[in-house]
Amino acid sequence: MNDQNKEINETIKRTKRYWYVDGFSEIGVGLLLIVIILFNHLAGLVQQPALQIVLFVVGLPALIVLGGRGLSRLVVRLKEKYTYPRTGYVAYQGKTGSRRWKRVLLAGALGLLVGALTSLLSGNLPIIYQQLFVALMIALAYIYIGYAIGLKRFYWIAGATLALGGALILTGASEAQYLLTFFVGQGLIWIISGLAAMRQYFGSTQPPAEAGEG
Amino acid sequence: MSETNEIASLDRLIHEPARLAILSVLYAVKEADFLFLLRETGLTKGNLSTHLSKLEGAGYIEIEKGYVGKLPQTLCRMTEQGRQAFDDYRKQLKDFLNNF
Repeated sequence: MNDQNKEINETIKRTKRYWYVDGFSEIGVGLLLIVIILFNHLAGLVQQPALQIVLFVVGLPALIVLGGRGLSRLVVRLKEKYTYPRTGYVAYQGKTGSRRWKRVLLAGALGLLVGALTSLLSGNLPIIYQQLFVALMIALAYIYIGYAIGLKRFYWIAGATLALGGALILTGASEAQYLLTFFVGQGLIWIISGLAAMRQYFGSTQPPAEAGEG
Repeated sequence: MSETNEIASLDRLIHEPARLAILSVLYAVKEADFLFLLRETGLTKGNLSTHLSKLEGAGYIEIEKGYVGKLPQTLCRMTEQGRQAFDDYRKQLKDFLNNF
């Protein structure tokens, strides 16, 4: 019966990680991350203060919100066209009403807590420790996601994140260069991970004509 | 309650391995189609249809038949009654394991 209980939990986890099976969402997140970081970097280079404020206060949040929504729709479209006909359709429970707000508030509180901890622990340390701390926090977040849904490649993403952070520190990059390269690198890591998943998925599944419902 | 009674009180409709697998999948999602359930459970089409009908008959799931383009699609989703029954089943199973 213990095996039965484990099997139930594993089935629930496996069903949840089906979202990541084709790599589309990871590639999308990687692309969006790169676009956001490049926008942020370019906005910082703008000479006119008024335009710069507009870009940071209006442009960046709009890019994050609209880009996120557009990306979500694009991923669903791709899944409808390529994934669902091959291995089946699944729709996940959306968080609605108070549950959604609780989730937003929890995420906000966690963000503030991590930010405060980062400032507190690394505020008096040399810049390289702060940079290492940021890489470590992000890697830990990936490890948590990987553990929560049982997706092992998130551990590789965590490892690559730490390796990238460490390598950039060794190059002696300035703070601005570090942040730009680190987060563009993050986007590339996600894209590479997504492409690997996509290659594996399309190599191991058959096109719709051979895998219909019957 | 004795261990024997605890086992006897488990919902037999859910306790059957194939139906337990189907419900475990549907519990994690809003809805899933026949093809996904077929792949996840490893059942034959006939077997899966039979178990889905039993679960639908018990009010644990809803089945909706439609089309995507020209291809038929069978959508399955767990009802509130089904979720409650599955939660109760898991709690009973957990209690039994804790007392064992």
